[in-house]
Amino acid sequence: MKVQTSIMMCFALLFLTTVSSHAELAVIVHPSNGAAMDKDAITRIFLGKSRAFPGGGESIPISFPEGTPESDEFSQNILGKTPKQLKAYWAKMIFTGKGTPPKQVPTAQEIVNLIANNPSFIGFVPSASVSGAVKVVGKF
Amino acid sequence: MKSLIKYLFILCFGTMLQTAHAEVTFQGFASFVGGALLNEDDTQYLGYENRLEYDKNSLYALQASSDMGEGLTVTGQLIARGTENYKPEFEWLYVSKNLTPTLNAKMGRIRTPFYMFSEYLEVGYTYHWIRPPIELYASQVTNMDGISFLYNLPLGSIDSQWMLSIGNREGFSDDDGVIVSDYKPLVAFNGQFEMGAYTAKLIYTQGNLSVETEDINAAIALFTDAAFVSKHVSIDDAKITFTGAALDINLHPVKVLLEVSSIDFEDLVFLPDETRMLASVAYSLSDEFLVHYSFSTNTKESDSDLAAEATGDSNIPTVTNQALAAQTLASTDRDVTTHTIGMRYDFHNSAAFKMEVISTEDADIDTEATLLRFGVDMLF
Repeated sequence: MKVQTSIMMCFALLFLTTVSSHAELAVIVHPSNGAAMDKDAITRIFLGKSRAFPGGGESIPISFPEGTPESDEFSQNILGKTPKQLKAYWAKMIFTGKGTPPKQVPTAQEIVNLIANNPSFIGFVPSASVSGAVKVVGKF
Repeated sequence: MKSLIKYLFILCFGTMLQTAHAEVTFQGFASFVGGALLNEDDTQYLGYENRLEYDKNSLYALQASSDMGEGLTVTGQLIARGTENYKPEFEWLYVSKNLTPTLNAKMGRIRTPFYMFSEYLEVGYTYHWIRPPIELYASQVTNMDGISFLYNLPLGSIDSQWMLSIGNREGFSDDDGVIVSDYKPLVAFNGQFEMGAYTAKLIYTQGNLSVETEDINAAIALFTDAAFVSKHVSIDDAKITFTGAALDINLHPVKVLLEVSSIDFEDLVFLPDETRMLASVAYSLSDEFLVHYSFSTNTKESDSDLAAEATGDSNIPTVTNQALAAQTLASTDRDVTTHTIGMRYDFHNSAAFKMEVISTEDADIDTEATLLRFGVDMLF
């Protein structure tokens, strides 16, 4: 019985660790933003290919700093680029004058606050950090 | 070095003054490369000889960009190249305005897009070679003064990007004996299509080229047929057309690049038509380590029929002028085949060490060379 409990606990621990290393990310916008967003639309905005929301209105992406787990996971799962590919991508964009990477904001709280106060902003935070002041347009 | 400090000072100070109004971002890239030919004779390739040199591909670039808000930015990029004794030059200097959410316009000194990678040709960090193979990526002209428009247009799941640039480039060559080297105007139109792992680019560039060198003038003096000289020998406002197509496939860990380019000159004895080809494959062994192989060719084929158009006079007979034209034409032919094998090691988040061996031969003039080069590419 004791062995069984230990094994179960081990599995539970393993499961928890797996979950925490892949925390779900929520893509958030201002509550007044009515744009319907899919993964392609989000990707276009975060890669600087579009400067407007699908329904119109200026879009300004904000991101966690480069190298943070949130930024790496967003890059891999939503943008479909390894962090290194993303870095090379932005180097090309910057040094060809085609675009600049999203402004970097260090904490989820600050990202939520910025978006709650500006209808042009779009960002991503761990789902647990979402408050009623922002609207979730996708979870990944 | 002194002048580099002076320029950096101007760049930093000039932009510091603007900080009251705009946010200024500094970004840069650098390459430090050494290399030598492994041949025992005095062959040259890419400027390298059979002794170790460190200035041929080394450079340091600093870009300052001021965001003035409302989609208006001003950008300057200084590059100090080893081949120019690190004398800094403004490679870029432009004002950019987002006219709509998908249309951007730039005016000033802008990069000329001839190939897939030509706009970031010197940002070594962004690709696997130390420099892309010269058989395709050969161009003396890297920038021009003018205006360009960039338009983003999603076509279903394809992201398309269209670019139109119009400008002039005066005095693009500093080589000894060059008197005039101008493109007036140069018009470039290209479309890029991105879908997941696939990126395709179609390129069309047209220019009016004028080149006068001591060698060309000496050759002109040998011909007595003025009509032939003005039509086929002198390069004065001659029409030149670049067309190219490229396909980049990025199926991590494998990357493939296929690119072809053709250059057509109006019938000129000194500038034969060119066909260029590049095929490259890269394989990532891990996050840090990548190996690659490339095959590249460059064929220059003169139009030997041109010689028949030369005529003579009482002093120099037709046959002499025709022989001279035929000889000049034949001297421009090239048939270069090159193999490149190399590695990239990302030893730092923003820096990569690279090493490559390039083996090249020209079947037309019967020369061959093997180049070993190594270096570090970085972003900062």
